[in-house]
Amino acid sequence: MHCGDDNVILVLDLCYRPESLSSYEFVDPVANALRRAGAEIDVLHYRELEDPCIYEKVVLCGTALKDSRCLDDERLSWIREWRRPMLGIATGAAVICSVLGGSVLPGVHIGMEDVRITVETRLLGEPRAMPAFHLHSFRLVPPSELIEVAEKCEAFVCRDRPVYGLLFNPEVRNRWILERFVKCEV
Amino acid sequence: MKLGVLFSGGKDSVFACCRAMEKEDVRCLITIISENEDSYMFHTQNIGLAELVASAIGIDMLKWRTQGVEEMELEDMRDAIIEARRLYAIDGIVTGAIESVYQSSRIQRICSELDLWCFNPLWQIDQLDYLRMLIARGFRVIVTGVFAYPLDESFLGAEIDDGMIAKLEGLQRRYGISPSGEGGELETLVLDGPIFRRRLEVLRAARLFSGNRGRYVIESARLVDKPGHPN
Repeated sequence: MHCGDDNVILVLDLCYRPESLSSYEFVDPVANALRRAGAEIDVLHYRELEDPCIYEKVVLCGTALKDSRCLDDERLSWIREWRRPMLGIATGAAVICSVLGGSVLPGVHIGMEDVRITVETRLLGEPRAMPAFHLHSFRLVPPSELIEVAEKCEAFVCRDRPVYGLLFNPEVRNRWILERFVKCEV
Repeated sequence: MKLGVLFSGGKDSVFACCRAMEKEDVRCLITIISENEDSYMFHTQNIGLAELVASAIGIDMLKWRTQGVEEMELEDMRDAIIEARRLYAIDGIVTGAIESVYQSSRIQRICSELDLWCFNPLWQIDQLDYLRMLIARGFRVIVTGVFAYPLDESFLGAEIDDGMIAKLEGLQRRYGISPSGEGGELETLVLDGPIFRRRLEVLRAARLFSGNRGRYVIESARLVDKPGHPN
């Protein structure tokens, strides 16, 4: 995949339809955190995305617990070839896992609970436990292409590219992760 | 999608209702009446007026009583939601949660167990931007309770306007007060707004203030027609 050099972050809305009632909850907080971190962003619904290649980085947002209709949508298959920084949040992480050949199984997780980081990464830092807000309805079985960097696959990174997935929601209580995604070489 | 809104008549549930009405089909407002004035979950100030606000908006209201015992009140809310689903065939619930992980997690769990959608359209919103947006959208909101120093008697019954927002912004900087009252610092009542078919008029009220707590107790209020709005 050839990509352009535009220094813009794409915030991709994965909710059940464009401009849905869910987007206030799952897209706006992420977009606002990225803007506050100094990023120039575009917000698009995944069904409206024509050319991801014009973006420098991509964030795939979460969705409501009952909303998983974007999983297995062929319109997201471009993720398979994506080489630039990408961050999937909750359903967004499940989409990355699924597109790369992993499994997405049922498993509801709601509320604040520690995430146990087991592998140091540029995005999350060194191994430790940190409190995080969870709101998702699945657990992930990652494909060999992904390295599990937190227990229960609550965070992963791609072996050969800066593609991350977080099952928890960093826009709640962990905005520093979004700031780091904007400001640092991840 | 047919939705029910957890509703107190305060600014957060009213604005959440407004956003839900713009995107989906709001069938009912669900009001939990807690006998515990210090309820962790539910707005208790002037809750009796929620019915008047619901009438002003023109949406059916389901009232449900709880003793307000922590965790038991969640069971009561669950029962209220089950009843709302039976009566109105709702597919989901809307809340006005902004920052409270405590509140939102519990409501999310109830909805998940009942296989209902859950929407929090104010979630993580910037609180000062939110207050400005309320005014810009034409909502008229008064303060009905203050529960933290240095919020004083002068706030009781006062309408949220640019001057009050500036004052709250200063108090946020100096004392860490949550400007929209997310920490329970203040509570509100909405008198009018773009989704209101009629507006509320307060006829008689009393200011009760002691220590760092105060209430604006509305003893009498009525609905007033709005020109150009069908009742």
